[in-house]
Amino acid sequence: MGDSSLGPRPLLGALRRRRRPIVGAVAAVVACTGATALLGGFDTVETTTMPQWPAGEPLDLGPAEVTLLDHAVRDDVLADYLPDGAAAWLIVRARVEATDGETLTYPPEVVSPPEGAVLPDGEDAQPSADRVILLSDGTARPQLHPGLPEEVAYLWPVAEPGDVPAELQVEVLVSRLEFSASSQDDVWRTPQPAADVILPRNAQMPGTFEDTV
Amino acid sequence: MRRLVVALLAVAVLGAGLLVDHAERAWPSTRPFVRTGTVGEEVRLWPGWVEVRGARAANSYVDPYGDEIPTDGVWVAVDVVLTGGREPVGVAQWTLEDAAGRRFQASERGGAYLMDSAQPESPLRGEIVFEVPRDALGRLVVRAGTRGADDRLGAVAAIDVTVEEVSQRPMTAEQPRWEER
Repeated sequence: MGDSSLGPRPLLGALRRRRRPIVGAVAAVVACTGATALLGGFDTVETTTMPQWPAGEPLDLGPAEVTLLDHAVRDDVLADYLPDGAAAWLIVRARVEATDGETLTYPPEVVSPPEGAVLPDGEDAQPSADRVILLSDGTARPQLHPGLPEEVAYLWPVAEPGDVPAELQVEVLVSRLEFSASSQDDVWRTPQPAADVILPRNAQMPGTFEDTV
Repeated sequence: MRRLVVALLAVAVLGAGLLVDHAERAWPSTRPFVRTGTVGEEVRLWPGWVEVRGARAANSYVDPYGDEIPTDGVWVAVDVVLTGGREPVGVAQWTLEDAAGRRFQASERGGAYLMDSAQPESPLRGEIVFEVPRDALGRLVVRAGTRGADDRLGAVAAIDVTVEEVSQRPMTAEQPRWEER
């Protein structure tokens, strides 16, 4: 007599045992797909256009009120700090006020320039500002105190000044301030576009900026 | 079945961890140890002490490099003495709170980082500089905290001080120096 384990009943059992993981995997996929469908994951998303916001009008971004004013393209300020491949700075001027009753160090991710206008940072065609400067005295990464609105300049390196249109459309970004357990401090996270703003060109920045940077 | 139980237990543990983490921040069960005091009083800031000797305000401020720093508000310099106890004391944050509850961090342009620690029996005296709007003046509270943004379970000294007069002369802050005990 040969091997009794190859009889019809043990063989059927072995096949069933082999199928179990496959059945489990299929069931998991079906369950996940069903849950996604129930939660609306396959619903058609309505495409919405970003709201257009006028330059010079304050925008409430949660812990701060931001007013985007204008922009300039300059190669005669902070020229020594231009990175390789850059010919000028795109400077976006904004008035920012901390409105949450506490001093803020506002993040560089407040404005996002259009793709192609500024020098990309690796794969990122819309990088956050390379420099954030207080216009009144040139302080980098300035503190913003409640009740004291400040004019701030956001700077990006530009490869070709002609790539920046005179009427520059930028996105205003809103971020959330969250406590980070790893750094034991509040950090800005998840910048999201909130509105589009068309900024006029301003050939001159305020006099103090010309003097201090 | 056993694998399903293990998976469910793993999900339950992760979920409970996230819930506890969120709950502790949203509805904290702990708070800082706050000691209060007034001008001229040594206030416990474990493991050391802090004392506010006075405060003054001016329209403009000359930083340690000799540059006059403009402001649309006023500059307030708070004269403080920081002393270690049985071990050195560290201050992670100096803030000034006005009557409306607004909290102003020490200006980074005022050299507050030089007053961030003191050794036992070696009082360190200097002025911490704040930039505030003019309407913040009046009754103020100087807060020194041993922890930063999350001050729970840290020590905080909260000291009342009143500043009303604003000098028209540019203000230069006293730089930290060791004081005889």
